[in-house]
Amino acid sequence: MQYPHISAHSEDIVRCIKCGLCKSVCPPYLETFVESEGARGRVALVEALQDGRLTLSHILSDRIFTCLNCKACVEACPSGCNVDDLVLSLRAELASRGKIGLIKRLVLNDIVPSRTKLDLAVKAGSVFQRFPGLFSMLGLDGEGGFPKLQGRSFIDSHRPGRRVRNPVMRVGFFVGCGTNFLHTEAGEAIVWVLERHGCEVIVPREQVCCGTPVFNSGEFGTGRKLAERNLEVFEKAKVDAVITGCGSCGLTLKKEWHEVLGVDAREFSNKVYDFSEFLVKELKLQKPRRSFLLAVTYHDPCHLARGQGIKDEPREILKNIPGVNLVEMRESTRCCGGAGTFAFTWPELSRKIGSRKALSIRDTAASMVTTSCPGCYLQLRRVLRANDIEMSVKHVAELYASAL
Amino acid sequence: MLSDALLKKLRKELGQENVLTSDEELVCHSYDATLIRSLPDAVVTPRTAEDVSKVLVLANENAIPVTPRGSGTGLTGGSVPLRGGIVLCLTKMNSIREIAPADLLAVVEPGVVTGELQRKLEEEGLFYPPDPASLEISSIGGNIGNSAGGPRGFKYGMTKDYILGLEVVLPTGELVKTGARTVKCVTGYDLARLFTGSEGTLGVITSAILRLIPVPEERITVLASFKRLEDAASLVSEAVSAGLAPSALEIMDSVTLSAVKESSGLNSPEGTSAVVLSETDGFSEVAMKEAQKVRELSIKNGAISVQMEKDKERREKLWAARRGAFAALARKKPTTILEDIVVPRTKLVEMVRAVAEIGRRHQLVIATYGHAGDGNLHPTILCDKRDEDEMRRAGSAAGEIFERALDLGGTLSGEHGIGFEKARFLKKEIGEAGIKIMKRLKDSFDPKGIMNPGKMFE
Repeated sequence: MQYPHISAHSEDIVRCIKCGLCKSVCPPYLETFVESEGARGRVALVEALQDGRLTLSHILSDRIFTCLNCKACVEACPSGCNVDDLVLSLRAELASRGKIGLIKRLVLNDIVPSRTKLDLAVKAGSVFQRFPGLFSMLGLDGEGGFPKLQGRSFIDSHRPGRRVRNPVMRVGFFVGCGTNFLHTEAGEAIVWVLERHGCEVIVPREQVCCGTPVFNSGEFGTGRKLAERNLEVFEKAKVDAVITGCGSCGLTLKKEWHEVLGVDAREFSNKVYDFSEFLVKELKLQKPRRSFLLAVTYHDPCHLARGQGIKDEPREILKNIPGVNLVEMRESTRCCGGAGTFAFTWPELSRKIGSRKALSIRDTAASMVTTSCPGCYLQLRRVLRANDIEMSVKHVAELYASAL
Repeated sequence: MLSDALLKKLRKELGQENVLTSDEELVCHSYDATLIRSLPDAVVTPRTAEDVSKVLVLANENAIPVTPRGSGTGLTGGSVPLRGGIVLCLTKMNSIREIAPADLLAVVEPGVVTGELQRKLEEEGLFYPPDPASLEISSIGGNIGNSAGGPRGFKYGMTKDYILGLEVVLPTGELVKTGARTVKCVTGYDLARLFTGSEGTLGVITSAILRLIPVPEERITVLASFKRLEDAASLVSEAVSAGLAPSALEIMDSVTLSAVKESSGLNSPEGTSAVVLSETDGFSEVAMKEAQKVRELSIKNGAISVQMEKDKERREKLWAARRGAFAALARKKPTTILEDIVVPRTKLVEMVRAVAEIGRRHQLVIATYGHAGDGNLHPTILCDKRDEDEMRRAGSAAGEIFERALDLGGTLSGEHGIGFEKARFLKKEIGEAGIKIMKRLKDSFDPKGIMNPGKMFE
């Protein structure tokens, strides 16, 4: 059997010297202590598949989908094996042979790519959500605690208009699905902060999902279409920079369209910034007028900290707010277990991983936890609640906006 | 090899989820950190000593090989199931049962990760010194099975020096308790010492009483750079003869340095061909006095630069460079073969030179670094497993390195064990009679030879 997606990364298979150091940072392994649920085991599985010792079985599929793509293994690997690429390539093999569940396939390839269908689906979902019985009948609310869907998306409700006189820059806001449907407040805060810093903010209505959930499930073809559509939309918007407030969207726009999907987006990618990165590096941070007496901790989203190497900038914004005392948590870069759809597809594992995070947040004794990703935001809320820890969760932009 | 009836019995006794037979799970338990591979017929994950006992009784009755395994990070093939059968994976037995600060001991299950334990102990002001490079993931059980050590070995010894007692299940299913919760204990044969380093060939460790010491007050790191390897080595021997006892005394050769330099902030002056990285610890005054002595001796031995660091973060940077040596080398070539020889300290230079010469002759890049304080070197052969010719040359080079270490009065393994990799060289070191008595010992514990067959002896 030929596995073209895997073959493209066969050098990474050879690179794995099986030292096992990756397991010491692999969240699913550290909850289960089962080799096949850990990074090294997954590399061994891909290797065995390529050698013809295994087939594309259900078990193999399960093991490869319990990876959170948190990239902690990649950082820990002494020999430079890109475990994340191997995992995605195996998912692509599964997807290209139709070995992804029918409903998931429909959602990923038909609903997510279409702005109108996705809007409609979310609207329907938010109505369903008012009738918990119906919602759980669809198998959508279980242990995972499906997030509260917003009836009106950010893009729908956003009114372009506040005029910025003599803008220093014309920037596009890449909203991303998490912000658009689940954490619209973060979107509003980001736009407001950018405007306060003298930017003219364009929110193209035709933008679609960045593709993270799609190609992370192996659907590379649909991922490519999404990348191309977004490139077209932002090309038309004629902006100097593209800003996102989501770690995963940022990573995808900056690197993965090109490196994973092979879409030539390098010119565009050079213009993409995370919200905090843009504020600190390209604009001048303003000293907020309001001050708080607040102990705040910060959770590093995987795709921001490891994916884009952005750890200092969000902290700089927080420290810039008068009266805010930043208290570091244990292992701030350890995955929260949200990982996009993982929280719903593997609820029990996600909760276990999240509980560890919740406890390190609790131990800071801070009264607020901040982060830079709507996915993490939702997961943190969920796991704090599950562990009876009362603490507010906010996007860095929200706290900063409220102080400006 | 395992009958359906037997598997059914195992599942009934241990629970469905603790007996794994899918091809995927078998593949994932067919390797360690060497290139040796062999599939088991089943993977069993016991939760208690009773579970272990049940498995061993069944295996013994049916003459099924049992290979104990922790995190699977060994460097000799020790946990690879060469003859198939059952891999007894102990990672789920991972609770720290007790930490007793007043008695300076801890009681742990075999699956506890060493680094995790050390962090927990440090919170209580306690210190468990053995520090294998794999400590962030390797388990106490595996460490005991191989009597693992690390840089701190010179001053603090290795795993076998920290075992007060063990609970072991024998192949017959009997639970043996050996040693005690006291520092002193000479009641009968020292079985705990025998099981430590026995590589799973005698029984299965299900619990250990570890000896602890208080955390030292201060740690100081000294990095000395030398133009000549001889100078670095003479610093090591002079420091030792002067009665200094640094907690670590590490050496890196020029091949290692060139790899490390690219990837770390190790600032050695131009023309450096060897460095000695040492650390002193203890009460502040003592650690400082000792560090200053190391510095004096470095300068006396021709060091071209000496850097002394007290600050935790800066010390950490230097040690990260040392720990990163393996990583830096591993990135140069896809396959790395890591050896583990020990020679008397006085033969250090000769050994490092010999390794370089062997490398040249076989057209291989071999980097040498290691724990100079105790003569333990890790020649690391860089190769590519897809290149058959190169792998053949690497094999002969490794053989020559072993021979040379033995000729210099050294030993085959300081802290990795024998496993499968070095089994064929064992006789050369311990002789015919040595092999015989070891085999007799094994027979008396494991008459049917089910415990980790194919290891240690040819």
